[in-house]
Amino acid sequence: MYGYQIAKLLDDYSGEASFMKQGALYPVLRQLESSGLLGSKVEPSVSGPPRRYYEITAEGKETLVVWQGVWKQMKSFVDKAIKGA
Amino acid sequence: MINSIEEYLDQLKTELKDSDAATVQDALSDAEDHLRAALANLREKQPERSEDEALNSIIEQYGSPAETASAYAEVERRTVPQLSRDNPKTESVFARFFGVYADARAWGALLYMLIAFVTGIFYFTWAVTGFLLSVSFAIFIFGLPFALLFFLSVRGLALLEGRLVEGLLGVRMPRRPLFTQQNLKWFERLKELAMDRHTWFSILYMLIQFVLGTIYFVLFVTVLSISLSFIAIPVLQELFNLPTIQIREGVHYFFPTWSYPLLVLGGFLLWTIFMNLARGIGQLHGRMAKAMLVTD
Repeated sequence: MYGYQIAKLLDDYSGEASFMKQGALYPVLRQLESSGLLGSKVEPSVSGPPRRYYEITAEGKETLVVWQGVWKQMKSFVDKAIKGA
Repeated sequence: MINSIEEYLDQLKTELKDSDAATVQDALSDAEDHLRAALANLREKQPERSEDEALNSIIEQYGSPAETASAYAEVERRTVPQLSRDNPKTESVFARFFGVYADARAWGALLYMLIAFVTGIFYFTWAVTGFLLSVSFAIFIFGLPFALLFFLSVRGLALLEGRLVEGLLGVRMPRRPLFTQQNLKWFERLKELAMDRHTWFSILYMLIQFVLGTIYFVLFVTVLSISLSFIAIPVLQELFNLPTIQIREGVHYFFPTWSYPLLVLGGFLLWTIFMNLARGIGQLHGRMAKAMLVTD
């Protein structure tokens, strides 16, 4: 997917209450790329400038699994804390 | 109210004036890609909306130039080029001098000095051949498109060299191609490239790299040979009975045994000094590359 597609997808997920500006996505994509979690290639586009397509790397997939674990723990902790309150 | 993508990019550039030049180049390239793609998409879906209106609704979602600039500044503050991460902060001069062996930037600089010899020759050949052919072909109908291709190749090589400099010398360089207007006709594009200071600085860099690459390589090989020779003298004299200096047939000179530790120490010190020097040269070269290959 290229940057604009990812931004649109995130917007679709967040619905009306968009939690971030699309412009903030690009520096994050670049940071993920420079740390080896994403790979990218530029391909020509029929309508407009060439586009940079991003793809998750093997290292990125491994890190994603770790992040998902951390997120589950965090979510269960917050859920428990709210119920207890 | 922003009336065109160019205006947005100008404002973004102003907002990023305190940021690293390479970050500015990346931010402009990302913003241009996104805004053009989004505008084309929106105009296709809702052709009844005016371009100004469509653009402003896109900017509303993308973020104002100030918001975008702060997002880049924030990420940039947290991200540093790979080799500048492990910068040993030792206190004494002694520890800093010998700590060079643990400094990835020094090893990166050494590798760069070797690679620069090859890239220097390639850049020089490419720049001289491309420039001369562009001038000679100017009388033919395909002369100008050829010149355009040459200028574009120079831009591509400048970006490639930037990646090499960032990877090995740890100096932040652009990660995206330089921002250029996409809707220009090829002749206008050629004119823009030919009038751009950046193109000529890149060509100059390609020429200079030949001289610097050769100097770096000669320095590297000479110092490595001398250092290794000093260190190897005891082994060569004692194990292989080889003389260090041969004045003429039958007249040999051997270093005395007591000088062995001094010779080995001398060789080791010479190489350590060179490693420190290479690290410095790497940093200087990085600054030069940044000044010449990155636009203001």
